Amino acid sequence: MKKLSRIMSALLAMSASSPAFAEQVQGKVTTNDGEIIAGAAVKVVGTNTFTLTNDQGVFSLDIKPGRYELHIVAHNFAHESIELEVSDNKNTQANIQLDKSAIEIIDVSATPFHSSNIESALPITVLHGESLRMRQANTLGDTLSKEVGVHSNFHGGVAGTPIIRGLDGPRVLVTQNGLDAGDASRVGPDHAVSTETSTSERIEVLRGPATLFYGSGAIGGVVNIVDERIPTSTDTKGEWLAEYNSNNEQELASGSFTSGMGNIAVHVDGFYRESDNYQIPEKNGVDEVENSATKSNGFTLGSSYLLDNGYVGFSYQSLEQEYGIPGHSHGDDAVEVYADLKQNRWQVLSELNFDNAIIKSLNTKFAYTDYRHSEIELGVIGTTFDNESLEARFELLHQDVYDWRGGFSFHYKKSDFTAVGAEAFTPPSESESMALAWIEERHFGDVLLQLGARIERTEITAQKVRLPEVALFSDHEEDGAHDEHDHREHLAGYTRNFDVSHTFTPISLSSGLVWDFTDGYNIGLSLSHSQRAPSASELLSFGPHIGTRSYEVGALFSLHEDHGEAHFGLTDHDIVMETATNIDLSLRKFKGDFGFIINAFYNQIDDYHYEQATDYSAGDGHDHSAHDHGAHEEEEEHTLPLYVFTAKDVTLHGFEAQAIWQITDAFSWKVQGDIIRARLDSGSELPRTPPARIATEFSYQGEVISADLFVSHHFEQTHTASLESTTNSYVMVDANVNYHFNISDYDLAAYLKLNNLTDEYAQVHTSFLKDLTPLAGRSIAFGLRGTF
Amino acid sequence: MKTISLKSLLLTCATAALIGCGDSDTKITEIEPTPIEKEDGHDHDAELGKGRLAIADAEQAVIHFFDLEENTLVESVNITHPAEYLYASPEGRYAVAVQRSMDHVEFVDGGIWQELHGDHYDQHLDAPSLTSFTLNDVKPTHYVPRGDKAAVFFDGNKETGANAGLSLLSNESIAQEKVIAEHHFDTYMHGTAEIRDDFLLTTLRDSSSESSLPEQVALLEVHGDHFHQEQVFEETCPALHGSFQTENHIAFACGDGVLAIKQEGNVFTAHKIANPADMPEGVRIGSLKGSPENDVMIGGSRSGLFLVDLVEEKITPFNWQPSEDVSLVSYGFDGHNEHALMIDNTGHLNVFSAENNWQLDNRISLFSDLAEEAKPSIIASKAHELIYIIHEQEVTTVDLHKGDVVGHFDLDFVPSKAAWLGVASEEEHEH
Repeated sequence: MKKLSRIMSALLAMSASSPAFAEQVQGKVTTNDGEIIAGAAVKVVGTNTFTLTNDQGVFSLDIKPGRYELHIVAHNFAHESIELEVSDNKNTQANIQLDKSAIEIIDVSATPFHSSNIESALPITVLHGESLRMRQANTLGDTLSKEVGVHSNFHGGVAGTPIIRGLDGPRVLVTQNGLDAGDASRVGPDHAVSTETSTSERIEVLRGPATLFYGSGAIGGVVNIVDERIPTSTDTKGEWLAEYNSNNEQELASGSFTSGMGNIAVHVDGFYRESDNYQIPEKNGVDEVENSATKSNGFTLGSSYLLDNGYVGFSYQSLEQEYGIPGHSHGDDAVEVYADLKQNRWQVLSELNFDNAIIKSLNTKFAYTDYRHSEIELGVIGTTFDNESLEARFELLHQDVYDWRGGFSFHYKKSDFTAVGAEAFTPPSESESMALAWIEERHFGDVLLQLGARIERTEITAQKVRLPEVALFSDHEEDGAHDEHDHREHLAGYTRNFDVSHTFTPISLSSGLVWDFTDGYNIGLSLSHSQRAPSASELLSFGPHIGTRSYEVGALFSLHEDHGEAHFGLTDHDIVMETATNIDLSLRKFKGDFGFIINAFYNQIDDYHYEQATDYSAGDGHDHSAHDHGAHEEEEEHTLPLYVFTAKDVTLHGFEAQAIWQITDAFSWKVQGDIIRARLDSGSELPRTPPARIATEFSYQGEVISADLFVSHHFEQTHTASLESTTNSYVMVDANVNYHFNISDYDLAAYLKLNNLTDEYAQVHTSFLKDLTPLAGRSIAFGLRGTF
Repeated sequence: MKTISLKSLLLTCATAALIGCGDSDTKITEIEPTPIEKEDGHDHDAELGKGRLAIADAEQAVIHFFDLEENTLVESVNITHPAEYLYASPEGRYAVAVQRSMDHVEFVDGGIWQELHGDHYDQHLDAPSLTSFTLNDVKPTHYVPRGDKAAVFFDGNKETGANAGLSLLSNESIAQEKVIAEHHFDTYMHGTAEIRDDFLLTTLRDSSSESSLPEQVALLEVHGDHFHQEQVFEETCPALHGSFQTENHIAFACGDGVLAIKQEGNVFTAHKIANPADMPEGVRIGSLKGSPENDVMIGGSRSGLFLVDLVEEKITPFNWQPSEDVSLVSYGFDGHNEHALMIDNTGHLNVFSAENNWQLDNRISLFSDLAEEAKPSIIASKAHELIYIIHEQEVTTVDLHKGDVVGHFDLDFVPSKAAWLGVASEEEHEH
């Protein structure tokens, strides 16, 4: 559904008559200069009718009489929408001219209107096609780390999750086809995102508050992984890929296939990935990151029933991953910990369009996800995380009213989370939320105004929140020698328990405008006021979290000092929601051989829940007795620095820019950069804030050869939180070459991917393990992929 | 445009505030606290049941099994002859009923055990039942459990000329109805054995000796289902009776002192700690007990207890009595040998901590009076810090952590020996 572009009406000639049910619409798609555009997609908005232009740029469609909108999309061109009147017994002719665009314009499924990235007030980037295949990595964060405004929290290549404008964890939502990924990746940086990029079609990144569409978890942004698991067409198409990477000896094979007959479309995809520990540039005798090997596989089956006015379909996915957790040692460095993750996911998706006076369309999404991941140490399960989640979303769009387009969205989400074992720092909890959102948009001349509001009710209940008595040591610099500070003899000998129920009513308000102030340019302005209910782990945690190397205490508790002695009790403060007020300004030039997108944002977050460092440390929960009953090795106390979740006001602001010059049809040159500052209003910096970056990319897109050179400079990060060290700058040089060829009807490409060509030793400031897991050293990957 | 949207934003905010949106509400109810079972906060015990108590009937060939959650009789299992000794198998699944005079050992499955199933344990809670596995060598006497194995020593018979022997067992081997390995001596003796991983230290007797007690120690190594003799220690141990081991030392009690053997890798060295000069005539240490983590063992003798310091190499009287008029009635240890437990003639349980070099930790009143000939026995739970004291026809439960008597139940039979069965907790390591 596309409407935000300039609309030109092209109602045309008529000719012969025959009493048919459908009338023929013919047309031709060309450039402004009259050059033919082959392979442009022409879609009748609100229906499943869709075709591609032939070598002559000509298309033809059979549609019933009525008033329609055609949406025309072609690679390297700005999208175009036209209105069309199809009458009985008349052939309709439509000629369409498209403007060139250096900026890639793509329709985004993460927003209810499915508008393109250019027509959104909120900045959106999309990674797809060959770029996605060339950038796809074992983890989602690492796949997206070259996108402007997005960093990875790089966790040794096994569990990197995306950071959007300095925010991650419970503030960035990871969705798959618009529904929560349903894993445990929001709870800890060492928990992988349970999605696979090699079988996905594209990844959409919404930078900035998207709570309006997605609720509390999306206050920092959304990463939506889109695939065709629920097919919307019976066209037979497929893609496969086989790749080998020399650095970590990774073997990857993936494939997807979609086909169908009559009204039934089917889809199947699968992947297999296995790698050893990855190599790093040698330093102090270390040239490999221990325990960074991974192994994963999965498959998806889906089917849908295509209707004249939409589709309804379901899918089942099974995913298994086994990955080492580098640095996840419980005190003893030699102990290898790995995670074993399993996920089963069922989805039902439907989009229906109605020829009705009130309702234009109804989009329905359901997902049920059963997720389990166990952390296994010496063959024994240390901790098991279970997350069972159910999500439902209905988007009801009304027919245009005084040219206002919009509708309501009802969203329900329930998650039952448990963690059992040594590292069960979060008690079992149930989160349930229900929300109603209202969105509208309207063109006023060259200006598109977007308004939205959402009210949500989130309940977090936990029947047994533990407040254990914990021995606190007032000096965490010296691990081991705590004799003077051992308060243990004062402990009363029991764990206090609480039955806790939180109810939050966050509201989100948003307004945006996109002003096409001159042809080929626009300005986007987005103002939003978003609230986020803190997550169960931010509220209720109490215990060692090896993934972050800290002892975490939730906001429900606070440190009290009595007679000079520190102990934990319930907090005296009210538990409050996080409130973000965000202003985002975009300037875009999207037509012609030169294009750019510039974004600036200012995000004031009140009551930002973050882990505040304390002067204490506490035991790491390592079970000394579990491993060795006989040997009775020298035992020493292992402690972790103690952090308490605290709500403070912070301000984040930053600037992102990208410019592309399409030098010739084949050559393009891109420059991009981003910078962000994240500060507590009290003055200090937030930890793990991404450093400033600047990058340049040279691309060649020929018939036979396509190639890409990407050079990025990550600046030194000196804006550090207390107890955090600075991180040096580094330069990454990556390149890839694809050789395209055909064998009968198959399009094949043999490719070479080269990463970190200069073998740079690079530490990632945003990583919890920056000292332990630098980025991989020089790596060479080669592969073969095919499409049909 | 901007102004309009800002205004509308503010207006909507105001409306929202009026209707009470944006609220947070937290309800907290404090519920029953959880006592911390162990200092390090690991809650292994919480999942473990209290297990069962197997008590041999003094008059009949019956073993009675009591459920310690409810203190009720679960089952009375008939065995072939009355049990003269009753032990728990390694890891606590079976009751080992030793019928010494009948050259017979039977095994009764206590019903509580856990089975490793891939990455987790399946817990079993079955009815107790007699297994068909028996040992039938001559005069089974000493039973020495160490870790996940146990040695049964058969004394042989001087009169019939039957030679001594020993069998090595584990829970698993009992389940499979076989011994892991066995060894046959060339003479009879009232001997014993100490297991050290694949090694076993056992006793040797000179067949020309008058005594049935051994006087030397040999080192055997397990080779499949049998043992190879690797070494015989030159240092002798005349009239050997009683043995124990710590992490660092293995000790055998001799008529003239204590033979201390130190293991360093595969090398074992022995030396004698002589009885002190002031040890009364006719007194010797005849039993050794202690904690694996303390190199000072407790030696029992006719004239009281001694401390045997294997590092300092000296034997000194153990003046454990809180006051002079107190004497020892019976003594034992808790489940993981972290405390020595002594019942004195005033009916008190005296608790001595291994960690604290056998200093008196606690004194718990058990009985208001104790008959002179009373011989209460102490049975320790390996799952919890509980002990069961069987005295006359009553079982008294003591929580060592609380330092208090926490329960009683009566028996309608005359009890003989007893053993605790169930799934043991991880061994606790004090920091």
